[in-house]
Amino acid sequence: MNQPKQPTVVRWQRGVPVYGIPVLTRPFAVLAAIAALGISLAVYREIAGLGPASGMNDAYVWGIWKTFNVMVLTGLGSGGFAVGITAWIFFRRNLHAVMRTALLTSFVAYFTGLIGLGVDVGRPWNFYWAALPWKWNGHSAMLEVCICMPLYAFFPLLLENIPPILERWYYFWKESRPVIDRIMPVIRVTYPWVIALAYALPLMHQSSLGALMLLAGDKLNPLWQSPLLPYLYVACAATLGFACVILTLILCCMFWKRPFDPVIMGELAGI
Amino acid sequence: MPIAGSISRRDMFRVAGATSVVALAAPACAEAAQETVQEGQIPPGALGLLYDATKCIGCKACVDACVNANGLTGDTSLDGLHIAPLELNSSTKNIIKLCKATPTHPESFVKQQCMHCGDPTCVAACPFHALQKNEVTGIVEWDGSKCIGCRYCEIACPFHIPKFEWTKFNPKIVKCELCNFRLAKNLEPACTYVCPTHAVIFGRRDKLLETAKERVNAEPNKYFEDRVYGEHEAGGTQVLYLSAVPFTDLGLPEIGPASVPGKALKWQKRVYKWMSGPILLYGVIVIAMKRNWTEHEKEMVHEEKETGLKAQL
Repeated sequence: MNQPKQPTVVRWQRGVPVYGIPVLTRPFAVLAAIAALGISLAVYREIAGLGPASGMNDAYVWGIWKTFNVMVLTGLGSGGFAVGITAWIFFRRNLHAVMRTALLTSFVAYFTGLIGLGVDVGRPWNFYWAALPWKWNGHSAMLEVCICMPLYAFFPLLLENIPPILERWYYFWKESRPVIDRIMPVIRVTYPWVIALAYALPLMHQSSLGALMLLAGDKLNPLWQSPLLPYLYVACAATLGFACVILTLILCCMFWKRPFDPVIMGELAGI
Repeated sequence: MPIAGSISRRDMFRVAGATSVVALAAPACAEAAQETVQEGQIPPGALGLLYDATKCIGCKACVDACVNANGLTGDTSLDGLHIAPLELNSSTKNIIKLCKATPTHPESFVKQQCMHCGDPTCVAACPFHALQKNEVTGIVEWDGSKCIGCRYCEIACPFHIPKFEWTKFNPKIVKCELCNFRLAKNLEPACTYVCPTHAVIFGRRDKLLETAKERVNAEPNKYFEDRVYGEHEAGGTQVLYLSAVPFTDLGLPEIGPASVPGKALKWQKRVYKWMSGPILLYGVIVIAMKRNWTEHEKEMVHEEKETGLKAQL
């Protein structure tokens, strides 16, 4: 790979040269090993039950599990919609340059969260009820989480992540070019509608995550027992999303020795 | 490339508009808040229990009867020998506890099982209606074919009743269902059937409430605050308690007359009435997106010319 020598500080832009970078690297292998360990532990949990595998009990019903897999991970994954809303709705155009990082981070976080949720719930095989809207309990915040999280991750978020993949094919797989040239206009027409969904859904389910604990009633500290809790939660998740995107960008720049744009970073951090 | 400034005035109004539209939609469905008002939700033929702590001798016959009738294994985790549960758990749907004496009150026994609330928080919490309140009997029943095992019911229940089978690969939610399988055979629940002192009795809730009030009236000042616990608590429960000691000393929470879902979901129900909130939100975002998209495309063409690189989406 012949990368042109780059200055260490440049302005990140929407149009950039595209390089092919190998996927199978040493960090990839390390992470894959960790994932394999996780999967084998998940198998143990399916056989032995949640108690022995997780240390949860009737007093610590969600333990650190649901708090981590749906709350923390979707919070980390909020970058996609937080950066998106800031760039599109609030017109911070500079941020379009970091949108892809945000979207990919989001997708990875949401997907991990969903896998975690699948392992965490006791009877995951009953999830098919999610496909039957007339069986839903519309008042349950947990329903909102169960429906909106996968819906967001696999519909708008996935579609938002498709252009980079098509682009890679466009540049490194010449045969696909005519097909992609035909697909791209379709994506460009539908994009605003899909993105709007990509912002509405996370706002809904993040607020529901905030509302989850309202039903705990008096078990919740009165300080938090307020109808504002869902909105506080959305604000908190969005902030965490920005932080996660910043961290990802810094790590990317360090690992791949990419140039660093302090202006955009400053703008991200300033929000 | 211009550095985008702060939010313009127009954008501010746009967002302010979005929030106010959602807020305006709320009063239009104000009746939604009324739906959750107390008591009305207990069916007229609701069944229940009346437990009188002053009559209970703590023999735990009901604990044993409950284990046998419900086919539970019985919790022997304390010493591996005796059925001596410390708390309600996956093999204990009913428990008798001895509450310590305080300087002002004598010691007292207390029985714990599902309260079968009028407006149950667990039912409001359950995403797929696995927990549902029977329309005729008012019993809160669990359906394993719908339960995903999220344990939100355990978080939600103000009385800490539903329990989860932590060591099974096919875990169930375990809680008292008022022996509904015995009721189907015209038998009363196991715990009331065996109670030697009739400390816990079974019947229709309205009849039980009458009985309880008769007892209170017959011996004023015997019972704590001359009050029947469960008449109004959490929107009314179908299991009623009488006690000589304060209910908090028995481990029963003082949660006031409003049901938890009634309080907690008031705003949520307004925003989500007919999905109006989400649809409005989506609409506003689409409008904003459509406007900004055109400018984005223009900017793209301009930038592509400037840099000679294909803009990324």
